[in-house]
Amino acid sequence: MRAYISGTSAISPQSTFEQEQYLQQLQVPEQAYLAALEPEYRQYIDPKLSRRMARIIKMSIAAAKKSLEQAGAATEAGGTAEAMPGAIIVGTALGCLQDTEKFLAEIVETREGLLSPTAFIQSTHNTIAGQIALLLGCPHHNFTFVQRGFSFERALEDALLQIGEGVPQVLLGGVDEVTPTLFQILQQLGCAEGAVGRYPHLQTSEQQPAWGEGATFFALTREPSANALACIEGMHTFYGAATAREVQEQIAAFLQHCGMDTGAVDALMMGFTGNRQEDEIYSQIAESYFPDKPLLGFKNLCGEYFTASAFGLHLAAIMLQRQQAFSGTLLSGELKSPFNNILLYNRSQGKYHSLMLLSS
Amino acid sequence: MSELTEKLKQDIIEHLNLEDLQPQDISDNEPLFGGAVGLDSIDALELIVLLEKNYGIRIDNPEEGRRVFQSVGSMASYIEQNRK
Repeated sequence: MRAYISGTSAISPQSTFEQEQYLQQLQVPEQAYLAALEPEYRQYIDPKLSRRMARIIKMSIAAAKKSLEQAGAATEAGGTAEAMPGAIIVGTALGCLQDTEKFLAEIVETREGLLSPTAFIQSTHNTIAGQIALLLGCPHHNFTFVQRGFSFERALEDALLQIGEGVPQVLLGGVDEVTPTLFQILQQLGCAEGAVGRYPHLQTSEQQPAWGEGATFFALTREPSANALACIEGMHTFYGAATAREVQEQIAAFLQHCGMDTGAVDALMMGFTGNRQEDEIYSQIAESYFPDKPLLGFKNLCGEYFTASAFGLHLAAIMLQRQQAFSGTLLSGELKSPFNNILLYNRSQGKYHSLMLLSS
Repeated sequence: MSELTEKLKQDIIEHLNLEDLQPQDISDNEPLFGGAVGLDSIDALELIVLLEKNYGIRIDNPEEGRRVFQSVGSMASYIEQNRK
C-alpha cells in the first residue's frame, strides 16, 4: 500500500520548522536532553486558544498546519470538504506529559483536593489529535495510537489503510515530548544520559543515548500531487530481540514485498544513537549487507524517543525532494544525486523494529 | 479593596494564562464572561480553584458562583466578606 507525502513539517531539536533555514546550522544541546526549537506560535494558533495548551499541543498544531498548508489543504475551520483531511491520526507513546505531571503533582499537593480542570482535560494522549480536529473543524476519523516504540508505526499503518480504502488525504503525526522529570526517571532507569558535548555529531561510546523530542506531521495523499515530496512504498514492523541476520531476512522480505531487491536501495537511514551496544546491529547490517551504500543517521539530530522514526521519515522525504544530504546526516559513503529511494530502519529499546521504504 | 482588586486581576491573568491582557485592561465591574475578557465554563472552574488555592475560600453552590464571578469587583467583595 502506497501513500504520497504531499506536505511534512517537523518541530525538532534542530532548525527544521522553517524551510528556508532547514538544517542550515546544527544546534548544540545546552541541557541534558535535546529540547525542541519552538517557533513563535501566534501565526499558527489564536492566543485565546493557545493559553490552555501545553507545548506538545502547540508544537503539534503548528507542524500539522504547516504540513497541510504545503499540501494545499485546509488549515482553519470552514474549509471546503475536499480540502479537509479525511482522517487525523497521531502516534504518541507518552502523550501530554507536561499536563500529566502538573495534574499528578496537584493531586499530591492538594491531598486529592480541588484540582485544576485544564491540566486534567489536556493530559490525555488523544488531546493532540482532538485539538487539531477542533481547530480544523474536521469531523472525520480521529485516532491516537499509543504503543511504546511502535506508536508512530501503528499510526502510519492506519493512515495507509485509510488511504487504501479510498480516503484522499490523511493528516498523520508522530509526537512525544521530554520533561525534566521524564529525563530524570530515564536516567535513574539507566536508559538515558546527558546530551551536552555528545550531540549532534555522532560519537560512539558506552554512554546511553540522549533523549529528545519532537512533533512531526505529514499530509499524506492517495494520489501524487504537484507538491509531493516522496512516496511511502511500504512499512513493516517486527518485535523482539533479533540478530543482524534475522533483521536482514526481514529487510529482504520487506523489499521483495515492495518489488525491490537489496541492491536497488540507494541509501540506508538508520537510528544510530551513539551508544555502542545499541548501534552494533546497525553497523553489522550496513557492513554485511549494504557495504557500498551511503549511510544516513537521524537520531543524532533529534535524540532518542519513542516516535523518533517519524522524524527519520520526515528527514528522508526532505532529502529525496531536495536531493541532498544535510550536515550531520551522512554517516558514511557518498550520497550521489540522483538517488531515488531511501530505506529507513529504526529500532527502539532493542525490540521495536520498523522498516519504511521511501521513493522519489 | 483596590489593592485586593489589583491583586485579583493579576492572579486571574496568571492563573488563566491571559497573556494578552494587563491588569489595567480589566475594569472592576466589567463582566468576566461574555464580555471583552471572554472567559468560558472551564475558566469558571479554574476561578473556583483560584479562590480556594489563593484565598482559602471554597464555593460549593453553583448559583453562588454565578453571582460571585460576575466581575473582579464582585469577586473582591466576596473575598472580603468570607476571608477568615
